[in-house]
Parts: sequence; C-alpha cells; structure tokens
Amino acid sequence: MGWLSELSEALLVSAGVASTALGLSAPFAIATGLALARLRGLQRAVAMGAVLVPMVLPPVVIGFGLLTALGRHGLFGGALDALGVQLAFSFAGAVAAASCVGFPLFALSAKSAFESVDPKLEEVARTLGASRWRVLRQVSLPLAFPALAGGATLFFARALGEFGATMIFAGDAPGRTRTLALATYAALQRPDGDADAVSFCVASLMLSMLAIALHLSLTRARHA
Amino acid sequence: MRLAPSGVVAPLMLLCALGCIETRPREVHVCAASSLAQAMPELLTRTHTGATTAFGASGALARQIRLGAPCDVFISADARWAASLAEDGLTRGASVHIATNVVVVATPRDAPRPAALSDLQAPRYAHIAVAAPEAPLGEATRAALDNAHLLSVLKPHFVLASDANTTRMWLARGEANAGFVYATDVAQEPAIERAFDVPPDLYEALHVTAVVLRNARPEAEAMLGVLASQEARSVLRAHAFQVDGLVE
Repeated sequence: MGWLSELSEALLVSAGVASTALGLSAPFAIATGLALARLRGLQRAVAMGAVLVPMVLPPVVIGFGLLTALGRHGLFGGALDALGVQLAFSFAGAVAAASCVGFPLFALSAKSAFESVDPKLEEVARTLGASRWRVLRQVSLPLAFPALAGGATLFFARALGEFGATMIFAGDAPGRTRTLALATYAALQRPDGDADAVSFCVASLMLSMLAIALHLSLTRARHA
Repeated sequence: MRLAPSGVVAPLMLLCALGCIETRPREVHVCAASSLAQAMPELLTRTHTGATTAFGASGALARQIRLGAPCDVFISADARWAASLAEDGLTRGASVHIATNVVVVATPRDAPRPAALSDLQAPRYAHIAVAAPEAPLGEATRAALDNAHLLSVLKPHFVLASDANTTRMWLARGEANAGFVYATDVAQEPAIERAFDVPPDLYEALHVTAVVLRNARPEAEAMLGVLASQEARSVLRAHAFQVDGLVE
C-alpha cells in the first residue's frame, strides 16, 4: 500500500475517532463544566480532582485502566459482553481512549466559560420569570458559547494526538484504530519507513495547526 | 518584555548543564532489543563482563544510533536493522548472529491450547493477538500464516497490537484467546503458555544480530566475542533463544 493511501486511511481514522469522541462527550463535558462552576467547598474540590485525574495520568496508564475496567476480562467486561458490546480492540475503544484524555480540557474550559457569564444577567432573567432551564438555554449557554467552542477544539486537538491509551486499549488495526499517531509509530518500526513517518508527521503538524487556528478564532470572539 | 530573553536563555543553559552531567559511560555501552532485557544482565554476570545496557525496540534504537546516541554495540532483534546501519557506513567490521528468536503460538495460562496453526480456525479462538506487520514479530507471523494458507481465514479474528510487548500483555490478561509471540516472551511471562512453535520453514528466521558501531571504543570487539561465547549461549538458551548450529 502506498504512503498516500496509508496516510488518508490514518487521517480518516484520526478525524473519525476525534469527532465521534467529541460528539459523544460534549453534553457530558458541558454538564460537568456547569456543575463545577456551581459547586462550592468540598464537593467542588472532589469533583475538580476527579475531572483532572485523566489529565495528569500518563496515557498508557489510562489505556491500562480502560483495559482493566472495560476489557473482555475486565471488571465490567462481562456486563458489556452480555450487551453484545466489545470496546477493546475496536473503533469504539479508540473513541473511549480519546474521550478520556480530551474530557478534562473540555470540562475545565466549560467551567471557566460558565464562570465568566455575568451572574447579574442570569438573575435578571430569573426575576423576569424565566425558569432555570430557560435561563440556561437562553442566557448562560449563548453567553458561554465562544468559550465552550474553544474547549471543544482543545478536546478535538488532544483527541487527535492520543497515542498511549489507544495503543494499549484499542490496538493498531489499519482502517479502524490506526490513527495518524499509531501509523507514525508503525512506520518508524520499518527500516525504510522514514519517508512515510515524515509525511505522517507533516500531516499531523498541519492538522494540529488547523485545530489551533480554529481554537484561536473561536476564543478570540470572546475577547473582542 | 525585557525579561523575555533571560527567560529563554536560563532554561536553555540549565538544559545544557544537564547534558554535561550525562557523560559517556566508562564501560562498553550495549544497546539491545527488548527481547534481551532479561537475558543480558545474567549474561554479563556469567561472563564477568562489565558493560552498561539500554533496551528498546530495535527500530527506535537504530534511529537513536543514527542520530548520534553514544553506543558501542548494537544488538538487533532481526538482521535488517543491523544491516541498515551497516549500509549507511555506521558500523565497524562484520555483524555476528548471536541467537535466533522463535515465533510461537501461545495462550493465556490454563486456556485451551491449539496443537497446530489450523486449530486456530476453531470458534474458541475468536481473538488472536498479532503484532503489527511493521514489527519484526508481526512480519514473521503474517509470512507464516500466508505460507500455511491461513492468513485470509484467520485475519477477521486478529486483534492487532503495535508491538511484541503489547501482544504479550493482551495474552497475559486473557484479552486474546491465542496469539503469536516470541519464545522469549513466554519465558518472561508466567501468565502465558506456549502452545507450539510456528514451523520455522514458514517464515524467515529472526536472527538476533550484534554489531560494533563505527565510533565505538576499542573494547567493543571483545564484547562481540563474549556474546558469541559458549557461556553466553547457554544463558541465551536458558532464556528460550535458539543457539544451536551457530558458527563458533
């Protein structure tokens, strides 16, 4: 297989994994951010700790944790098996790995986003008779939106770069779990793989720059 | 803004200072494939040889050497990495084939064991752990299955790992029902058991190859002699390498 088809296959897997992970995680990350912004005291400290853990753990440890929890012989492997779900060694597994590493970035951005909304505006809406849900939908969320979008791009960028957890939990199946990062690693295991590795690196760099540009343009709207 | 240059320069200077601490070791430095990680310390003790060691994937080590990593002797998991360094004029003298690593089919301990490659078609082997084709182990596995006309039949059951270590870990944890690993992996990992050796005529033998690097210290050649000695061979054999029929 030529490097171009290998590259496009890996690009598709990377983009597919990162965007699926983002789509599935977004509601939870936003809800978590909202909760973090509203919680106080010990509850907040505990919740912050729980959200931050995946950010400070080495990704290999996350992969091993996922395998221990969700692998076929993991803690919940039997339950998943009964449901006919297999996460390990699959696209879904790569999505799970990417979600774990991206989640803290999105949730923390969402927390700051909701904290930056002027509480007076929310109070005004409440005094005018709006329900809590309506305030969230029509006041807090629209005001927080640029920062939330910034968090989403951070999540996406981190998910694109995922390597360690994916390698341990989802494996290295071309077309399913071989992302750009894993394809680069594979190319480096071949004596003649240097040129391929360089082309994968250039593609990674361009993709990352695209994600960063998106992030900057979305977050700039907030400061303007 | 006036602080910016010193903010950049100070960490850089610190980094350079750290680089000075990391000087070249006084003994012969051997960079070896991970499959030798267990055997090497014992080999050095038994042969009363002083040497420092570093282990890693053969490909990663070869690349580090190419970029100037201080290393006197390189031991590759298969002949091609040693050959690629020789082709680029980075080695000194001939390379030495010190042992052969054998590909085996293994299972998690106490799991049903197949007796031949064709047994892997049974439904109980729904997940077969295989290393990526870019890794020497994965390449040999594919060649063997292809020559046995089983590659296309078994492929849907593959769970693909990026390297030999991950393949072994999945087997040890029972995530796969069977898998293709090195004989040395089985010797290292009590949680997996060897089912049978893959017939050696089905794949190109994996020759563990040692070579002296161009700028190595003079003692490096003696290290090659040690690696090919009878004592070294008995240690390597005990760690499941094949050493029969090697030239003296």
